[in-house]
Formats: sequence, structure tokens, C-alpha cells
Amino acid sequence: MWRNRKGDEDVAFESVMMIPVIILLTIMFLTYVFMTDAFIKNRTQSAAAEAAIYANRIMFAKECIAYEDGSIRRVYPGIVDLNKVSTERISNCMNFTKEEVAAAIINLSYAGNEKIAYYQEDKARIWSRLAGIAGSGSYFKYVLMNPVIVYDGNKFLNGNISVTVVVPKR
Amino acid sequence: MLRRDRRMEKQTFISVVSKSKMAHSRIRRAEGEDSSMIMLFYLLMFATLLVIGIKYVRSVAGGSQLERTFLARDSALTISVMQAAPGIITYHHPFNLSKSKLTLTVQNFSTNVSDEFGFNSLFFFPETRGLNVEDMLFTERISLKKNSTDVSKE
Repeated sequence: MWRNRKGDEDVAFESVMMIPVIILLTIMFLTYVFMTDAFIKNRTQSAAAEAAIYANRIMFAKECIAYEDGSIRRVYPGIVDLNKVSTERISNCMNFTKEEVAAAIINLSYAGNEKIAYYQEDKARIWSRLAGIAGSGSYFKYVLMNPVIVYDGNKFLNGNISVTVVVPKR
Repeated sequence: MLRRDRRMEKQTFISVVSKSKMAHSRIRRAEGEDSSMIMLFYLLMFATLLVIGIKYVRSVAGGSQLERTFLARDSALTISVMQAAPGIITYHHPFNLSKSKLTLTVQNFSTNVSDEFGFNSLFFFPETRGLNVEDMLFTERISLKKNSTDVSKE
């Protein structure tokens, strides 16, 4: 009888002692998973390409700010429609289902005037300051600066545009 | 008379001890079952961890994770560029998914590439109001078509 009880106590003791072993094994496994994931994400880092693509999209897509001749439905990349440069318009053409993907600031100067539009203004301001810090949790900033022709509805004017896109390094 | 009393007492004692032994045995058996259940639970946990670990290591060692991540990003950025470009575009991706046993799903403005082990890589692309991106599933070649209203599977 005593022997049986001792055996049970041993099993119970071993069971309790297994808990830290399992926790340690889980931590080791998760460390391996996260480290591999970080390594692969670093090898497939595409933040520079993403930011450049989104900047060009804002600049040249008719859904964003590029001028489109409504009568012949032709898009003129490089000509900016002044009426389209607004935060609402940019939010419509750059709308992500997940918010933590990109942010942008569009600064258009023409004939002594300046017009600014944002995509996710708060994030754009904060992420711009954090961009450039080394590491995979940081941000990448891409600035596209171009001389452009600005169409204000009546006439064409000369201007300059700066499209700043900031993306997290994922 | 005295001898008969002694015999009765002895029988009573044996009966009580026997009942006590049976009760004790039942308790021991129940405790034993508890211990077995705990050990079985731990074994199951170990087995689950081991199976997931082996699958994950095989996925990494076979390069499947790198392919998944690359393909999810590449196809999302391709769709993004196609959305922004004016006119009609047809695009054929050079990668054959069936060779690497990968599946690409385009849904809810995201690309999701899953491998044979059940691991996924997800990447988002922007939604453009007025330009629909259809839900698509690719298991072999990736062929996309873009016109003025939507991006769809060719």
C-alpha cells in the first residue's frame, strides 16, 4: 500500500516538474519561429519598392491626382489636376483595409501658392520622424519630387510637387 | 459460547477490513487514473508541439516560407501597379505555383499565399474606390487582367 502511494506521489511530482520543461520548450520553439520569420522578412524586405510604387500611384493614377481629359477619357501623367489634390481624394485612391500599411504627404506648389494633402495625416507625421532608424520595426521614407504642370480648371500652370510616402518595414 | 463469540468478532473484523480495503483500492484507482490523464495531456502537448515544429522546419528548410513571402508581396505590388496604370493590361506571372505546391488567394484587398503545410503569408494592397478587384484563386499560373472598371482573373 505504501509503495503504491509513493508511486502516485512520484507521478504527481513528475507531472508538476514537467510544466517548466514544457514552458521552456514552447519558448525555444517560438524563439526559433520568430527569429526565422525576422530573418526571412529581412531578406524579402520590400519597403523601398512599396513606397516608390505608392508614390508613383499617387502621382500618375487618374484615381489619385493625375489629370484626365473627360471628353476623350485620356490620362495625362505629369499633369496634376488641382481639384483632385485633397485629403479626401487621396484617401479614396489609397485606401488600405489595414491602416498600418502606408501614409503619405503631398505638397504641391504652383504660382506662389501651396496645397497640401495627406493620407493618414497623423501617421504620416509620426512615421516620417521615425524613418531611417535601422531595424525591421522601423519605417522607410520615399520622397518623389517632380516639376509638374498644374491644371486649375481653366488654365495650365507650372508647379512643383513633392510626394512623401512612409511605409513600415514589414 | 466464548469461542463462538470470538469467531463472530473475527468475522466482523474481517468484513470491516475487507470493506475498508475495497474503498481504499477505489480511491487508489481513481488517483491512478488522474495521473494517467495528466501524463496523457502532457504527451499530447509534446506531440502537437513536435508535429508543428517538424512542419515549420520542413517549410523553412524547403524554402517554402521564402517563396510564400516573396510571392505574396510581389503579387500584391503587381496588382497595386495594375490598379494605378491607365488602360487595359494583361499580366502573366512567370512563376508556376503548382511546382512549389503553393496557392494564391486574392481577397479583401490582400494576397494570401499558403503552402502544403498550411502556413500562410499575407500582404495588403490599396483599395481604389471605383475600381473593383475580384476575389481570385490561383493554383498554377497567375494571369491577371485589368480594364477601366476592375482587376480580374484572365
